Amino acid sequence: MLAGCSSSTLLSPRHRLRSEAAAQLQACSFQLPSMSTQRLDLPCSFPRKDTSRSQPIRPVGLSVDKSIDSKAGSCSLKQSIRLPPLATTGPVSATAAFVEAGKENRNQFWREKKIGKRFAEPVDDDESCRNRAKRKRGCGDNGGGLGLGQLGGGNFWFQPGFQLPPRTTQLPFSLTCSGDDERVCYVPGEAISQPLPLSNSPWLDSIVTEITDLGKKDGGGEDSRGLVREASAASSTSSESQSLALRVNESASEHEAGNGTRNPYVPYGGAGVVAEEEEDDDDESEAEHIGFELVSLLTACVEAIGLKNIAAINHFIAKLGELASLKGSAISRLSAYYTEALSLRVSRLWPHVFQINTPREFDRRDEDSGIAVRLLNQVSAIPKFVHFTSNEIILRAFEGKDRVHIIDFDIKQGLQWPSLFQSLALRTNPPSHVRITGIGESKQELNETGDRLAGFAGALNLPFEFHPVVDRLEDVRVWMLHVKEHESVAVNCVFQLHKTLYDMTGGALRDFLGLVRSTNPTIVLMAEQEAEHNEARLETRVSNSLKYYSAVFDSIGSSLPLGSQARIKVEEMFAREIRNIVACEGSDRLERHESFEKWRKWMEQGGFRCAGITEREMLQSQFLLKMYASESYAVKKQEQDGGAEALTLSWMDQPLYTVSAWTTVDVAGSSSSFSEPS
Amino acid sequence: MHQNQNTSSQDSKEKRPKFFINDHIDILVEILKRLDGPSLGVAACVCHLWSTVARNDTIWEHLCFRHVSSPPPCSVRHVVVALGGYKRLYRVCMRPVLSRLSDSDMVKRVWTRDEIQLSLSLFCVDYYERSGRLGAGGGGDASASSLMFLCNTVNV
Repeated sequence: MLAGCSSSTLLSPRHRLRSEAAAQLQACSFQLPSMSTQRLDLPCSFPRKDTSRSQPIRPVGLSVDKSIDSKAGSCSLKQSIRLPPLATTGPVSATAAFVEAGKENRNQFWREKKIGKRFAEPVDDDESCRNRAKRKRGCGDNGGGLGLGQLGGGNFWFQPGFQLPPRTTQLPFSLTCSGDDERVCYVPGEAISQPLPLSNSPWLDSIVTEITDLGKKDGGGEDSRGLVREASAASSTSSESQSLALRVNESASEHEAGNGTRNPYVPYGGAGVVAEEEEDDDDESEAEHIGFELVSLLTACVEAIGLKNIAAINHFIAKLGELASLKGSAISRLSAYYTEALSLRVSRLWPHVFQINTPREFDRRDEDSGIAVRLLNQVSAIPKFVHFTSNEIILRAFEGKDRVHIIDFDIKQGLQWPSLFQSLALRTNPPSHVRITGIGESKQELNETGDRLAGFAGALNLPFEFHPVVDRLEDVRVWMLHVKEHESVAVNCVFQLHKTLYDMTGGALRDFLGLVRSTNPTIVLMAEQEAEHNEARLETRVSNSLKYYSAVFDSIGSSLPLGSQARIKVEEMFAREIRNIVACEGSDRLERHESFEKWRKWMEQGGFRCAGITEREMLQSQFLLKMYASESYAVKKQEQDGGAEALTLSWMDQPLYTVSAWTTVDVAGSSSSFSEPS
Repeated sequence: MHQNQNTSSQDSKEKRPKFFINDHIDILVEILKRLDGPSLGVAACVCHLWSTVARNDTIWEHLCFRHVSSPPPCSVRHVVVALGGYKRLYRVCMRPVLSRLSDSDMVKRVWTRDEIQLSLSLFCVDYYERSGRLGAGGGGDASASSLMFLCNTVNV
């Protein structure tokens, strides 16, 4: 929902309208430099680069104000953005190339975009489109979508020099993001009505309203999506607005000067003008086209980065900024996060050319991640799948053991352990002592977790001791872990192992596995993302992770309404991962996800043997997944040599997470104490 | 039985007008133990006494484990009571789990140990989340918990 929209045709819930009006009033400060073109710094994720003088401003967030109620209104706005370039520039030879590359797709897209009377788009359609888009993309053989190959042909190198008309009265305000204004910039209704949720209750309230309000989901969803498309709003900030403003300084204009003033997107404008009166197409294909569009822009941008074509990068990111939105469909939001990550990357690669305001959310990482973890547990089957499967394996490993010790690397809020405690307490002979060593980065969180777990164990009459260890993964040493004699140790590594892969020599991983082995564990639990996000080439990483995170976003979104704050929070957590995968290199890039094949090899090299997965875990996971309304979750075994080695959770055929268990091989005692299930 | 009671009591004592179930709480409990969840809820609305009786956790315990093939170990009761009681277990976990699993399989089948275990695990998660929220301290807010997915209507 974009601020300023006062249309009565909006189907949005009443409160949103009111708060949007409020939002508009609070819109962040304007900057209207007195030059011929206006400068707009994009709030949040939609960076826009502009040269100081010639670059047209991309209205982020838009002009929605203007007349959101009719698409026609915003269409015309958009048109007016685009038309002048047509008028002022010569024929674009690139048009042909452009058109050739994805002609019908684009024309259709434009037709629908302009016309789209329909805001109404059922969520399922959108998802299925996205999925289709995703899959098609994956196959790389669709006519409309653009594979990397096509893009590589250099069809898209136009100059960024396209001009927008001076924005006169069309924009109600221009947005700039600076400091604390960000949050308020162009904020959609919900974010305003719930001022930054630093405490849980607003979130929880909103979650409740949203969950119970699912009936209105379609209405709300339609709105935001429709609006987004209409106004091609970029950026409406989420409540954690990340403010990025990319400014390309003068030096970039050199690139432009050398090239003509051809506007690469003229075809859009042209087609748009002409196509306005054409008939409506399906909303489905509209969404699909937008999805294709976004993805193709992303891949084009990545190509451009590879070719170091600054002008093209500039252009694509601007385009993306305009098209993608944090308030749109899942693919739109996903593209928004990718755009942000790409912008970060280019600003690091060419700091003299691109400047960026670092998103504020980097500062608030800690508080947010705690909330996000709990929200993820509420809306998605992923955490429960990982936790319950691991617990089942641990329970089996601890059978007959009297004193048990769990070492949890990154315990966070300890959400995994209550059900294990309950299973242990209900054993015929409950253990006489349970110890947990929790490793984490936040002392406060660790202490709180310890207290809660202690309370829980007390309720079950389970003797319990907790040891917090505040340290980074690579700094942990055995003597910190409180390993005692005569206790069976289980080591739990959920989404941690991949963080040691930054070390190309494999040293960090080896050291870590050595540490684990030195605790003499009965069982080692490993849960990792099932993905190949550690390729050296950016293009491969981006395309792999796009597929992966679209599935993740779909799975989160399947149970939440579109504008849900909870969803935004959770997605931001994944956005951090995306940002790390795309924008960071070397030892900064921690999110190096690998497939289970590779992990199996490394674990075996590290002196571990796979302990296997039994039918019980499989059954339990299947039961668990049946609890979720969505039918798209699936659990599959990863088998080798006839034995099931790991369980993988997937969403609509896209594997997401894998859980596996390992025992040490070198110490005879420990591997025999847990016999591999047949 | 009603008639017998009437005649016998009429014979033995001074005239007793009717048989009031409310005078025989133990019989009431026996009857309520055999009801299903929704009916129990309805019964709890009949009158103040019934409402009190219906809150009796053993009735709900019977309800929870009615479909179980073998009786659960005694330690279960302790755990369940510690985590909030059988009524809550039924309402928050067992009923949704049962209804969702039954949809896909046979209508009324016997619960296996695994399903009980799953319900109990989910119940633990529910308790853990209630017992201490970071910051918000709204401990009783059952709706905002990770069991929300159980509250949603399935595939509507």
